[in-house]
Amino acid sequence: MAKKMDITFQIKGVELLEFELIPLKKALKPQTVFHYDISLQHKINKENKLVFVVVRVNILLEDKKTLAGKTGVNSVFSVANFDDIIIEEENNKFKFPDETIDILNSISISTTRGVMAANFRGTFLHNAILPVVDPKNLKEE
Amino acid sequence: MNKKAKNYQSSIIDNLLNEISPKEQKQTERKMLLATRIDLAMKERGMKKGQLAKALGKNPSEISKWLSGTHNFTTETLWEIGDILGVSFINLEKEKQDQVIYVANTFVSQQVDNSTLPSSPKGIFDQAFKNLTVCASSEL
Repeated sequence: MAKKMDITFQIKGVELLEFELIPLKKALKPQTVFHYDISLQHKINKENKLVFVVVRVNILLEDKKTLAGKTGVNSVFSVANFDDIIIEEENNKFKFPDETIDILNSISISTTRGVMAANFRGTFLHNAILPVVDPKNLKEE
Repeated sequence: MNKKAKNYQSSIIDNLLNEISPKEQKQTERKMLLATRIDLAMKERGMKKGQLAKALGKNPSEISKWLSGTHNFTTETLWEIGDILGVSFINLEKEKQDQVIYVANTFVSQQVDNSTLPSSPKGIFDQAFKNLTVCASSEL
C-alpha cells in the first residue's frame, strides 16, 4: 500500500477572474431554485511550486438554461513539498494524489463561495449562496 | 458684439497619418520602445552616453542616434548592448506556461427563500433601514 503523503501548503493569493450579473426579464419568485454549474481547473507551475485552482460558477435559473450570473475565482497555493506530492505520469504529464486534489478543491470551492457572497451581496443573487459540494461528486474530465 | 469661435479643421495631419501604413507605424513604435528601454537601462545603471559608447567601442553620437528611436539595430548590436546594460532585448527562451493537470465539473441545485431580497417589503434591508430611522429619530 502506498504511503500517504500529507501536503504542506499555504494560500498565496485569491484572484477574481470574472464576475457578471445578467439582468433578469422577470422578478424572482419568493421560492427560487438556483442551479450551479461548477467547473474546476488545476494548473501547476513546477518551478515556483505553485498550484492554481480556478473555479468557475455559472448560476442558472429554474429552467437550467437562463444564466443569472457567473464568476471565476483563482486560488493560488504555494506547496512546500511540491516535488514529493506530484506524480509524474507518461508523456510528461503530472497528477496529484486524490486526497490532495480533494483538499485543494474543497478549499477553493469554499473560497469561491466567500467571494461570491461578497460580490452578490445586495443584488438579486444575494441569496444564491454556493451550496456545500462534496469533492467526491466532482466528475473529472 | 458676439463673436462665435470658429471651429477650424485641417486635414493635413489626417493626410500625413494616412500616408503611414499600419506596418510602418508598428515598426516606428517598436523602435521608439527599444530606444526608451535602452535609455531606462542606462539611467538605472547611472551610465552616460559616453560611457556606453566607450564600452561598445562606438562614437557617442551613435548612441544619441540610437536613443532617438530611428535606428535599425542588428541583433548582434542588441545583444552587445544587453550584455553591458544587463538586460535582455531579445528573448530566445521559450516561454514556460502553466500546465493544466486536472479538469472537473459538477452541477448542484438549491432552493432559496427570496423573501429576504433587498427589494422585498419584508426584506432584511428594509428592516435594517427601519431600525436606522428609529435610531436617527431617537437621537434628535
